[in-house]
Amino acid sequence: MTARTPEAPKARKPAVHHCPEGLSARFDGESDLTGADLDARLASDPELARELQRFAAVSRLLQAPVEPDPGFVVRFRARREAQSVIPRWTWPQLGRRLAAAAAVLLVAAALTYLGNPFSPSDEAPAAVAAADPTPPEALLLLEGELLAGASPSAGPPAAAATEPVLQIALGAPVLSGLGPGR
Amino acid sequence: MDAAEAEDRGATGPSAENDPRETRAAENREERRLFLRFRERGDPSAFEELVRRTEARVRAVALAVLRDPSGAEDAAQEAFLRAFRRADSYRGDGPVAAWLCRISVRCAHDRLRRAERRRRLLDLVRGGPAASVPGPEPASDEAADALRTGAELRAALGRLPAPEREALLLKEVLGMTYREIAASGGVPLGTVQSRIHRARLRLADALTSGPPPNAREGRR
Repeated sequence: MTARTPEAPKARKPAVHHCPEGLSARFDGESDLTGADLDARLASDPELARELQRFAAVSRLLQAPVEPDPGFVVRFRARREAQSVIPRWTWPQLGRRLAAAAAVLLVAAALTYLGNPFSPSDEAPAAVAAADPTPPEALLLLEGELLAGASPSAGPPAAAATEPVLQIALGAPVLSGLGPGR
Repeated sequence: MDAAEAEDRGATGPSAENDPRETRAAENREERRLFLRFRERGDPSAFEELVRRTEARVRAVALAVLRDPSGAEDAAQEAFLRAFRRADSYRGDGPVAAWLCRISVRCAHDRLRRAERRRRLLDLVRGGPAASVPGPEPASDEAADALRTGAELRAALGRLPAPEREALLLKEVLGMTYREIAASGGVPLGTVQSRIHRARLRLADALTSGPPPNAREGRR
């Protein structure tokens, strides 16, 4: 003979098993889902009327009044920013943008560290002039000085040498000294 | 024309004067428009406007589960963050608010489960049932009754199957119709009716027949 041990409490079954589903629909105002005979049953069966009262009690408990809170959205924004939340469906877009940015950076790094394939030594003079930030007028001035035999750092040039330089600087043809006059 | 634009046009539908159903339908359309604007154009201000419009309902369903305003706030915040991250999981077959509220119910239930796990862990550490840990003393008999009823309701809601719990809360807290709940959950109308009915019966049974014997012991 074995001694009886206290049993664990079993899950309780619902007290009412015969309650029709239409009763909930009626309680919720879903009139098209209630059976035609429900009203007659309600009138004759006090158990069903009590069931409606229990439903009302449950409903009262569940409906805690909640007022809108203007601070909620502010707290939500702060929380989202603190967690750096990124919408999941934007990840592919973000990935494409990051890949494009990485490609640009790679090209820039290659040009910087591996040398510019368009280096000035191999370039035509016109291209060099275009790439050089020095204004063309200054170059022409320098050229005029050299043609006149004066060093750029050797003080003010002679008047004879200055004349063609000025012409060049003012927009005269570069080879004006070789014109028909000579 | 993207879906957000289509919704923009659809938002200027028939006027919703004094008819609660029309009013709600207009609100649903506007909330959907905001959501699509966020999802398709990545406009976070549209999402924030959606949060502002729906936060009371989303908190209310969490509060119904947790019976604790601060926990409900946390659960609702978490629900909005999940929705923000996973906006692509909205299938578009029901009101956006209903989708948000379902997430909120799950977040609230997750909190309950985490709390339960912590309680069990404390049980193990202390070597006794957690129910023996004294809680705050209620100020009056009425407050004690409210606390007890709240705890019983929370426990009873926690024991409900998730689909039943969600359906009942969408009905009771949001006042959604059975058809709206069916559409938002992608289930037949009859299923919704059964779920709500079963959930209601179980809650009513739990509340009218009192807490299980072990819980009564624990509160002494």
